Amino acid sequence: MNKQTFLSIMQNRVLLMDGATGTELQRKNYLDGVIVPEELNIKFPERIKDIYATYIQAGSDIILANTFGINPIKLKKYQLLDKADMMVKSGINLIRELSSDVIVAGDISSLGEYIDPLGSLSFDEAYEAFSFQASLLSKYAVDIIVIETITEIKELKAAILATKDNFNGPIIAQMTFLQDGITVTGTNLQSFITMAESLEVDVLGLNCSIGSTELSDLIKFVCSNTNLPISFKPNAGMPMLINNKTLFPESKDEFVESSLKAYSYGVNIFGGCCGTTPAFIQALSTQLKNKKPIFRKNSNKYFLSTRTVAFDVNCTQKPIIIGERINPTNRQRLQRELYKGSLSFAIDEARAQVKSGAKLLDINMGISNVDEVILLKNAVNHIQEIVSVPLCIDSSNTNAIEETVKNCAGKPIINSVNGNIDKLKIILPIVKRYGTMLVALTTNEHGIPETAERRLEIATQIINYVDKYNIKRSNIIFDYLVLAISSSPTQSIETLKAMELSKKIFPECSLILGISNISFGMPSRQVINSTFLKMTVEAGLDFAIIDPHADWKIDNKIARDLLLNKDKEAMRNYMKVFSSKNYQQVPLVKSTNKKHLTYDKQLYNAILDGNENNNINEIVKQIITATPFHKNPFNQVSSCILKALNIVGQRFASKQFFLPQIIMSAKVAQTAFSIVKKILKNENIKPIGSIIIATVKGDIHDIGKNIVGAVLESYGFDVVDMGINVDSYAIISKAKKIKPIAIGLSALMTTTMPEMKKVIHLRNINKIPVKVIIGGAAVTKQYANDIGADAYAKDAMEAAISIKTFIK
Amino acid sequence: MLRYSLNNINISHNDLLRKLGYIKQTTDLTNNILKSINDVRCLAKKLIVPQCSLACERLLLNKNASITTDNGYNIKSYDVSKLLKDCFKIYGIVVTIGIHLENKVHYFINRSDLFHAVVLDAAGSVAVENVITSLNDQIKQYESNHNNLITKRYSPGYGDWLLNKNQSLLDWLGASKIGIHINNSFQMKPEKSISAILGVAKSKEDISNKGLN
Repeated sequence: MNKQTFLSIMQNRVLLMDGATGTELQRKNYLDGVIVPEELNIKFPERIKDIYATYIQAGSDIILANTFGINPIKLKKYQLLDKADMMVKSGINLIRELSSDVIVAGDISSLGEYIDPLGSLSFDEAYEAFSFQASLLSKYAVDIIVIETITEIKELKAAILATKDNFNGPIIAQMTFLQDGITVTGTNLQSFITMAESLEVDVLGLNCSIGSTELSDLIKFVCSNTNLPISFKPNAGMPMLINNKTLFPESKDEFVESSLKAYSYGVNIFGGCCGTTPAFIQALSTQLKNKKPIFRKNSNKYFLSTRTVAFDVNCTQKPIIIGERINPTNRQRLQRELYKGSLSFAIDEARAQVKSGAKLLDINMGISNVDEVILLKNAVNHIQEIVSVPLCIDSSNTNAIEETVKNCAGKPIINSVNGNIDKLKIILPIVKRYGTMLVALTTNEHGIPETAERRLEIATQIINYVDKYNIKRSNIIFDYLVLAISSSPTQSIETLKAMELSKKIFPECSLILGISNISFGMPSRQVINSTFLKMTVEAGLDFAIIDPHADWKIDNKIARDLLLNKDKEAMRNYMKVFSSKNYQQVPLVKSTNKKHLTYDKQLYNAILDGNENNNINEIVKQIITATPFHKNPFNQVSSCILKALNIVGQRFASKQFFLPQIIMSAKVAQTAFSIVKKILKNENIKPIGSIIIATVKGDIHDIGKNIVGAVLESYGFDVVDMGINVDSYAIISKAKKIKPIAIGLSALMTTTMPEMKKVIHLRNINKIPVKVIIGGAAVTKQYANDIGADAYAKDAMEAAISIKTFIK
Repeated sequence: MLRYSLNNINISHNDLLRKLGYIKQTTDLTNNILKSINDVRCLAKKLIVPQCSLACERLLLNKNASITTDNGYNIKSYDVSKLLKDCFKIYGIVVTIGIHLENKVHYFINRSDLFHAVVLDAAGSVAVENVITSLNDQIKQYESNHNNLITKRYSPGYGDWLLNKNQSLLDWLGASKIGIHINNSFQMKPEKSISAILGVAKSKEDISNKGLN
């Protein structure tokens, strides 16, 4: 079915989908004998056919094929991947056998694992999994595809993109929400709408969730915030598992009443999810079958979004501030951090700029000799989970842009493209595919035109291409660029003029400007910047790329005269008044006086503070260099580390420090040890010895053991981590081989503690000269004594202290 | 019938700090650590999917220090019998926050990012405790409306009710329907799951057990 046919049907009448499949299968005991419900399609087709038939009889116009979980990630777990093709084929054909009138929908749902950073799947892996499913649905010619019960926005994005790439028919995208209009992963309704609209689905809607009564309140919001057709497929209330039976609290009447409410708001497609039955659909059909949809007013809102929120560009106070500080150009500290692979400074900048009023953040990771594709993607992945403002992806590297935009959990802005046709041909398809906004610079390979008219010519050329690629003009943000007033005194006037003209010629398009260029080479730059910002807003500026920490309240007449190039005296007047004043802001980060500290002390402090941001590599190098020739440099560094760790241990014992601090301190100490070992190679390093650590057989808990491992490594021990659920014989065999100072055993539960005794017994009968230290939630000192352990440690610091006594 | 809801499960900042060993009067807390912990807390909130299964049946106290429910679920335990001695009804509950948070903890562990692993794991513990507390409170409220009182929660592994009895409790509850399973060492998967029972006594006059509230 082509999109137009489907849309024209919806203009004439509302459509009814089916009700629940899964809970109907359970209710009828149809799931006996299959591993996953989709296996019914080939193993017991009569059962699934019966479900389809009851919904067709009840009046459904659309039947969802039983293909909900036919994705490779789920099927591989059950060794059913080779059956996927047959399951899809049969799931679809069984509907066709029953009726040639109903619309057959392919059903796609969640993969069961989240995409990075919430989970460990990469976006590409998720995309591939959805592509696999969508291509099969397309192969067996479903009429439409319904993506449903999605709770994570990046998963929705991957599913829509994969479906669009493999299927030409109509796509319905539905998410599942909680009562407050937020998914379990934090996405709100508007953010969902923005994403679904940006990716150009044909229908968007809500399914499952919280029952029809509550969901009808949420669908009302959806109806007034999108112009797309809307689907409504609620469950029969939040399920409750009581006395081994899944109960759905809503009645058929409540379901119909809520659906009628949704109809009155302008919903186009109705159906039921978990807990609804053919009786629900039949009752709905009696009320709604073939009714004309209620007309909805056009929504004239335009959103940018993140995972959690979205904001209407049209309704936000102008200028919308885009924080410019996450850009390593001329920012030494940010550069240093990025070269070290640390994003913590960038994240701090993100937080601080949002606090200072930034509504969006520009993210630029352009530094030499670093893979910008990876760096920009990682930065955006981290920053978008820390702050809830949309992002402006700023790069000249088109691969970095595409990879990052793809991984963005919302609708971002791409910064930027210019009038260069080759560049337009690369960037515009990315804008179209991912539904982003785009900053378009009115410059080209010949540079920035001097006059407003010439800049508008470039804008026109860009718009022609935008139209050609069928991109909404409202996604375009023109930058008419500004040159320094110090060297081009008339240029600010040209910029303002171009902006005013642009608003008339391209009213759908927004305007953006990086403000601070204007004051380059001038004293008291903020006076010019702030005054110019006010003038650009008067000329229609929508977005300003600025430093949000600076003072943007200044509006100075002398500066205005200068910017308008009012007379020959304007520059002289400005210089007279402002050359001695300075409006520089207070630096965000207080400079520390660490340069006055010795390197030993700096390392000591870094460990104590758990601060990896200090340049540990440099500090360690300096300590080694400064070590007198008669002393051992390794000992020099290690004594400094151990001194700090002793204090950390004391503070932990006195509760002045708590667990996270121990971990952070241990990490810095580990880093310092690894650096010194790397620098000195084996020279002058006397190994302290190795320690085996393991969680005993039957026990799968690993965090406590890992903390012990990290702390022991921070003390310079070579830790051999054998993992979790480790067989006692394997531990002993390892100990025989590597002759460690000690074996550290962890067990969380009383049921697995006897394995500790077994290890000690095996050590004794094998006469291995190794100490055994034990710990874990259920383990006590008494138990350690009873089973003949050499030591008990209640935490990682105690473990380290005990093991140190073993080597004395 | 009790209608429970698991919406609005929060992971409060203070609860998380306490879980990590923070003591207000003594622990020094830098802004840096505070921010990092808060970031993980926000992540945790996106990763929890609270679910529960509940059973509620009439109770028969046997002479041999065991109890039996209407449908034949049986607990042989002196301590459980003692807890339920004034009760006419028993609730069994099992709650979980799902597998996503746990998966992410392992993801951090595999990347040797212990800080995030530890804090996220602690946030998961806070969340699952809040889920069971919320359910406990709803049961308490429901029973209170019927002029009944409930006992404290009691789980396999307490007293003489051995951990290896958790499987039969989960079977009674149909815990597998919400994806909770148990391994050979009687550990639940997802790890952030809690199972327990509660007794219900008819009225204040019937109470002699201090565990009732």
